[in-house]
Amino acid sequence: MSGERPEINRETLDAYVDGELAPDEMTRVAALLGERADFKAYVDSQLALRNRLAVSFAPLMAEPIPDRLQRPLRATPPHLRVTFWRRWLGEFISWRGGVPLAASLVFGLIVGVAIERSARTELPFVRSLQNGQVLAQGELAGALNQQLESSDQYDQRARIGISFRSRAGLDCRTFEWRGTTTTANGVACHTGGDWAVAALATTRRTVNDQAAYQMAGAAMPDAIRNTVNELIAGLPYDAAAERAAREAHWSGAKRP
Amino acid sequence: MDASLDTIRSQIAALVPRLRRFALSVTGKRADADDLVQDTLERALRHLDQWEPGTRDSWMFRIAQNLFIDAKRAARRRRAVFVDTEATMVDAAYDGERAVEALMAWRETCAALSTLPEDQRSVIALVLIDGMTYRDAADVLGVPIGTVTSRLARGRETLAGKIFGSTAELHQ
Repeated sequence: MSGERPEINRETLDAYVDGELAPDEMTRVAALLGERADFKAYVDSQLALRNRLAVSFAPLMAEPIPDRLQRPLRATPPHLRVTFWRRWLGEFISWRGGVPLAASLVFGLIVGVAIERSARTELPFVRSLQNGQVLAQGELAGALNQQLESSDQYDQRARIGISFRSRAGLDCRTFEWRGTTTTANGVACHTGGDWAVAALATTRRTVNDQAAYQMAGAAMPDAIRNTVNELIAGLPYDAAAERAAREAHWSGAKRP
Repeated sequence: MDASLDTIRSQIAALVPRLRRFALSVTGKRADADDLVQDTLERALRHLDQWEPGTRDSWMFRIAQNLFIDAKRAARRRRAVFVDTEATMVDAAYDGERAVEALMAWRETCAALSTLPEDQRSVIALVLIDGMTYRDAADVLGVPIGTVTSRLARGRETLAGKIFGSTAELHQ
């Protein structure tokens, strides 16, 4: 082959040191280093520079990560649009005095847009309405209607946590849905005969937690707990109040 | 298939040491570097919808770089200066003679890096210190590869001159 080979200059040698040349060029430059002392000296100086930089930063790489940099990674799941629902809930709560509740309720589905994009299809227990409202359906709706916190929920896919009266006078319940790969925690309030989902947090389960059963509510994400705190009027229902609410078909403030 | 939240978190966590090294390379100060990494993590976690599998390294570094540039713009208004040699980093990692050598190396490196213009410092941090390819560095910085190589060449020359006293010359 007699094709023109590009001239070897400093940039070529830099690319050689950086491993950026094509394999045949790497071989060609490596061979030339034995013939050209100036090339060799330049490459050696650049390797020494790389080595010096590596040595200088080695202690940093060996350090444990400071807690303040680990904290963001442990915080509330980032896919919860916390600011969104907090702002929204604030508006919702501020409306509750003047506007007929059933008419003004618009609940948002708070699901990670990014990482859980495909999880929407894995949330068979809710349906979205065109107005943005998200309603529990199927097995989850059944559990919200019938299941009591105190009942044996071990084998249930939908588990009920606490039940409470919202400041707006609705009966609300927290729930956990354990799908094949996704666990969802949420809070829903009964309105217009449906369970409207006020907040929902989904997480993918790892193999390790498949086995671990946690009491409903015990593993409630902060965002759901905060939503409950925003909504709740007084204390959660005790077993008797929960049963009474069920018997009254979760009619909330309208219950006699 | 989307990565699980745990997987994404662990992937981001695995990048933290490299991000800290990059941040320290460009800021020169421990506290500023960790502030930059913390801001980077928080911004990344808020914008995971922009996460594209396979590009996460350059995506995270791009966030860090952009935050650094923003911070420098703000600092420039306050006439902040890049100077800080921090013995604490080295002291914490090494003892005795090794610590002295490492500390001296760090001081020289830090002083040399501080003489580089920011654009050259970022390229040096990404390619020579982090070991990124030219293409990835260009992606992080949002510049053509030719710009990466020319900044790299200038930065190398300055650094070698500062650290070793001279740059090897080519005869031609």
